[in-house]
Amino acid sequence: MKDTDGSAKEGIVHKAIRHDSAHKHVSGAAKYVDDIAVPPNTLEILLGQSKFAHAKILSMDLSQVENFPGVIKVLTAADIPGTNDCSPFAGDDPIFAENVVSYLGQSVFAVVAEDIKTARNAIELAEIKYEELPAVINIDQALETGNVLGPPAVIECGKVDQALAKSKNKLEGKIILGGQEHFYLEGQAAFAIAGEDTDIVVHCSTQHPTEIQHKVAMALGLSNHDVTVITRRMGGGFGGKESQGNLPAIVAALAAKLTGRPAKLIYDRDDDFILTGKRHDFQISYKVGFEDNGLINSVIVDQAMRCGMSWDLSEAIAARAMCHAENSYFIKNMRITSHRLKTNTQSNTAFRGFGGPQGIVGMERVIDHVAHHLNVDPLLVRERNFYPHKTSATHGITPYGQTVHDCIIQDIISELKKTSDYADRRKDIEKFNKNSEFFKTRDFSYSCKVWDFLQCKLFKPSRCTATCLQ
Amino acid sequence: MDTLPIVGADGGDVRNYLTFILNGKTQRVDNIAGDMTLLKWLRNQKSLVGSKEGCAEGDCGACTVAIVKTDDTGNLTWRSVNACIVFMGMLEGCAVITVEGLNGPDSELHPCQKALIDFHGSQCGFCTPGFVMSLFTAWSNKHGLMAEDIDDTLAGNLCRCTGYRPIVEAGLSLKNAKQPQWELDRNEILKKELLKIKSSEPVEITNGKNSFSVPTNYEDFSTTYADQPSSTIVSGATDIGLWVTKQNRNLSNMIWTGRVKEFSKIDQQEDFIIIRPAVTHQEAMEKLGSKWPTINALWKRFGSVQVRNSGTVCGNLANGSPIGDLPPALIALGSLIELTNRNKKRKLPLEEFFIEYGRQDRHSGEYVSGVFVPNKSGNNFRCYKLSKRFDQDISAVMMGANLSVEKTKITKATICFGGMAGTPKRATEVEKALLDQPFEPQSFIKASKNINKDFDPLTDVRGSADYRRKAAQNLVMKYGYELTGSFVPNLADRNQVENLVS
Repeated sequence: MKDTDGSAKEGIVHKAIRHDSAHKHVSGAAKYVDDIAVPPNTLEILLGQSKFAHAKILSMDLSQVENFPGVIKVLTAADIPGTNDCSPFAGDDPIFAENVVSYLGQSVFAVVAEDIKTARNAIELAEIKYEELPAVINIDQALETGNVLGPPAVIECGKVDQALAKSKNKLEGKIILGGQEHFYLEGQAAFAIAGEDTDIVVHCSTQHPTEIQHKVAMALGLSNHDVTVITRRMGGGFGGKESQGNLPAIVAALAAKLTGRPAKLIYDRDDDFILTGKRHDFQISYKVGFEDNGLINSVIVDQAMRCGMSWDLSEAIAARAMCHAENSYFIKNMRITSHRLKTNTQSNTAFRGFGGPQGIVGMERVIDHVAHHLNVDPLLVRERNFYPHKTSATHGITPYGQTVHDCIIQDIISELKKTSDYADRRKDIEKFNKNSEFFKTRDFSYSCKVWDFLQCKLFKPSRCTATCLQ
Repeated sequence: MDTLPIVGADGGDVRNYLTFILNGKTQRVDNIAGDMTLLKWLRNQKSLVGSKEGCAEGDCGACTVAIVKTDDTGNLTWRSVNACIVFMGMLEGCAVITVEGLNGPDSELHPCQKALIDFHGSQCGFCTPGFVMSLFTAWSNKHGLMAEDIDDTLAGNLCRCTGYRPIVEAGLSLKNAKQPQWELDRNEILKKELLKIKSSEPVEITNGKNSFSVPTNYEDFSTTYADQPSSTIVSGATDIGLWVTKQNRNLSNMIWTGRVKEFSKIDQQEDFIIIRPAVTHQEAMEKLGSKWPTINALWKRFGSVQVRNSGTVCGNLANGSPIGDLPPALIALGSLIELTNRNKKRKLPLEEFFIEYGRQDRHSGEYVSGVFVPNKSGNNFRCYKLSKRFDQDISAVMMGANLSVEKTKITKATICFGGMAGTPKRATEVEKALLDQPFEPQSFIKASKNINKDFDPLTDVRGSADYRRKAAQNLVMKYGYELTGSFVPNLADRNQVENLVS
């Protein structure tokens, strides 16, 4: 392995070490949950899903499903001995919807059958009567109707409004960031076997076996020590298996417990898309006040995020988005408001970056907007506003009160400018775009990223005020 | 029970079991549902769980396996396919190799497997068996591992963790590697074993509920289908496979075109290249693509290697998709479609086959028996595809265009769009506006405005109506610029894009 300067380095960090399962990956010998050899009496489970985004359940007749040849059991909320909840902490994610469905595709019941084909045939015979209710689907609707999971969270530092009013230049704008499906190649998967006494073993594709253990115990009315969760490996997770594995694991465990037979719940790709939360989509609105030289005096940013029908992990994700909202720039006066919006959609969840990317993109947009207004290279505006090398009582402190030590972003950028031939390449691009009739070539720019200065809980009230964050 | 009686060419009964080779061992399979997929069978019946289900619709490639046959000269031919949408009956007379069947004596890993390890090409590992099999098939075919085609070789395999670079590097590292002796020996044995199971007997398998018929000659096929027009004709199953895996449809009788001798040919007449029902996209691409590079580029984008190896041209037309990419291209070339009912044949211009969304001019008992692509036209033929994802995405707008020029005037223009209406449809007003005009960019710029007269497109996830109209206009202009000699960079060509800024 060569270092970036081309020199070979000694030591473990510089060694190319092969994946310790690589030989099993390439020969098909690596086992995932659906690959485990199961006893011949294993049952397969399919979730019955809501047909509306928001509706009252008036009646539910599952007798035809239950009587379908090959169906062993139908599970509903009434079959849950413990708590009907699969949320990571807030208690607002039912395993099976009761009375009301809150998103299209929500789990309402489960068919436990000899095989999945039987379950698929049987499930079509469910008769559920709904009374449709008005649904709030997107961010605009949620803002308009004030549909929120909790009051706005605010971080504020300095004299935001005054500094904005005094600025020579003012701009405002908005950027919309879409959500994203995790698309782990292996869908959600759980396989449960009831053992002796109250024991139950759940094989599960999850990033959070401990939480699975707790949630299975809670739902089944067991103690944690009754539940063994085994996760050999996952076929990808990316945050999508942090909390979203709870539901299939609980339902598989419940089926195994109630039927006495091993039971497996593997989400088909379509079901996985429909049932599970995604990356939070954001609308970020901002106001910025700045001087002609690009120095930013004040930023007001509103992050509206679509959380879906329940909290899931949205609170912590919101906090991280807020704590990355200034990115690598020292903004003396800043107000960051987070709107955690409740919508009749899947409960959005952890996804690589956990809110950080959304926060950062918002600020990068502000910088680009300022540069565009001043008609200068955006990198100039970035450099003008970087956290300083040396901090003082008034400089180099984040909006949430942390002192930024050892900031070297200036050094990194100046080196990159040299090694990438930045100035000349930009000139070439400008020339090309001017002379090319149809095709404008890609631009060349730098974007900066700050990452995880802090744990979101460590606010220093001396410099800022933070409300509604726990 | 409602199974199809098929009488063999010799008047004898049909065979009621399948014969094929799995990882070197001959299999005899009977009493199996006609709609059983290879992936399900491998995983559930044979405990070969190395092939994974990532999507069950032929998109992700995690279930990729190799299908091996011998060609007319007795050489082995290798195809990668998505096992999730291959029906068992389609294996008759073939050899299947799964990821478990690659390694050599004493469990020595195959060079393709070793390369992925050495180049750190796996992370979670779930997609890896599929990548191994795509590389292995390219390796066995002795092409597809070069810088210019490695992307195409791997475009049908999705990975979400590793990123594709190490996988591509693993592939490129194989291009000069030698096949180990044990592999050459194994292939020789496979050739002999394939010869042993070679037959021209018709086969029908059933579990008593779902049957799958494998006729071997054209008369049998036509008669059977005419007698049972409610049965489902299957060619590559790249669409019908999804009826089973995704829509849970119950297909009681299926008839497969794939082993009908007369159907697997590309016939060449003086005026036409004739593509028969079992000709795959890959086979047609090799034939037509060598004549018209533009359709080669299109084909690579609309189907991965695995899909091109299974799906057929006739199937693509018969399913009548409003955004199918091939019809606009074939219509621009002036192709005809042939339909057959028992022994009655009729031919019509391809554009007349598509009546409205979901409805084609195909009568009960009729099947698509061939596409006639004119041989002699097409110096000015071009295809353009716009989609959100470059590879294997459904088009937002697709244009196939062709025209004739005499002296300096446009004397004939055929411009057909997909994604602009409920069916593939010609832009007749644009065509009219081009006619008799000077062959110069200005004529195309003017004519492009007529898109608004020709089409009233939909807004959907792939693009708004406004986007579609504008994009279609721009494509007409681009076509004009390109034909009249202006430089229009091809964004699909990595080198061209890199060279734009030197």
